[in-house]
Amino acid sequence: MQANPRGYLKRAFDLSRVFKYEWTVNWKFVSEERFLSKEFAIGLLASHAVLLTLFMTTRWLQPTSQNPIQAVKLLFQKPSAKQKEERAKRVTPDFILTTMLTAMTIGMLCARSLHFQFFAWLGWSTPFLLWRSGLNPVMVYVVWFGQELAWNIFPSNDLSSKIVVSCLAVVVVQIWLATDYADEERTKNLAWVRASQVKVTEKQLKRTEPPKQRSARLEREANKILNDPDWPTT
Amino acid sequence: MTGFFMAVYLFQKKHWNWGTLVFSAGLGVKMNLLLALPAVGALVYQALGPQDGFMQASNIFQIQVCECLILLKRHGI
Repeated sequence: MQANPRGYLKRAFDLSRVFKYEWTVNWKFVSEERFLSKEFAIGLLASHAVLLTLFMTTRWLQPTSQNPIQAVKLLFQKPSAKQKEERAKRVTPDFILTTMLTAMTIGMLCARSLHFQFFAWLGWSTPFLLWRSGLNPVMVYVVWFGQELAWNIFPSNDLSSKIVVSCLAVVVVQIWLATDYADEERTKNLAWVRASQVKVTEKQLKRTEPPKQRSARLEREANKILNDPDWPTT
Repeated sequence: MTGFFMAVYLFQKKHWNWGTLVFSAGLGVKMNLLLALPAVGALVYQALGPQDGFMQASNIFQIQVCECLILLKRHGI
């Protein structure tokens, strides 16, 4: 950094790289000169910014504020310890995972060029996001399978890259529709999912446990899940 | 990538400091994690309040600075 600061900074966070058309997985259906053009890059960057702003203002700040203006107001307040604790409670594990994976997926949708290595991220996040979005189970399999197929075609061609982009778009749209935390119908869904976890522990039972003890234990576990402060039902 | 998922796990267990540290370490390995940065910002801001949240954000940046100092010293340029 002391020796060649500009050189290091330029290469470490090089956001203006030009990518090779040969290796792109997601924009093969766009002609090569369009792919390399500056307008395309700026357009993608703009759409990334728009999507991020949309999500930020309408979804990611919901646990602590009703609308963006309130969120900005919060910036200047000094919350008391109790207020802080109450707000922190609303940042649930589910919210954390969904938000971070959604941010990755939005970034991949608007990426100038994806390479095959990036599937390492998508392969794990897409199943979770599709399930979380409450999409029809058949459609979940269709989207997931389409994505697997498209990413496994080497070298990428017209059709495969169209499928890649559309799968990413579907995930983003579904997540946006599904993560309205102010909407009580949706959050009730989560309670149902959690209550079904009781059945999982049922399978892990020893068969010799007497039925009275078993039902008492199941009830205890169900109450523990339903009253867990990290996973509020309301 | 390990850094990303480790950071997510640590955030879920409410270890915000460790989470941002691990996230920043992962960011030094793979710039791809920059994509998740707005989400991390939103999460930390909401969970810790404005002052502490900003501290965390500056931590991420400071760790990046440290990393590049280390790298350049090693390559003796």
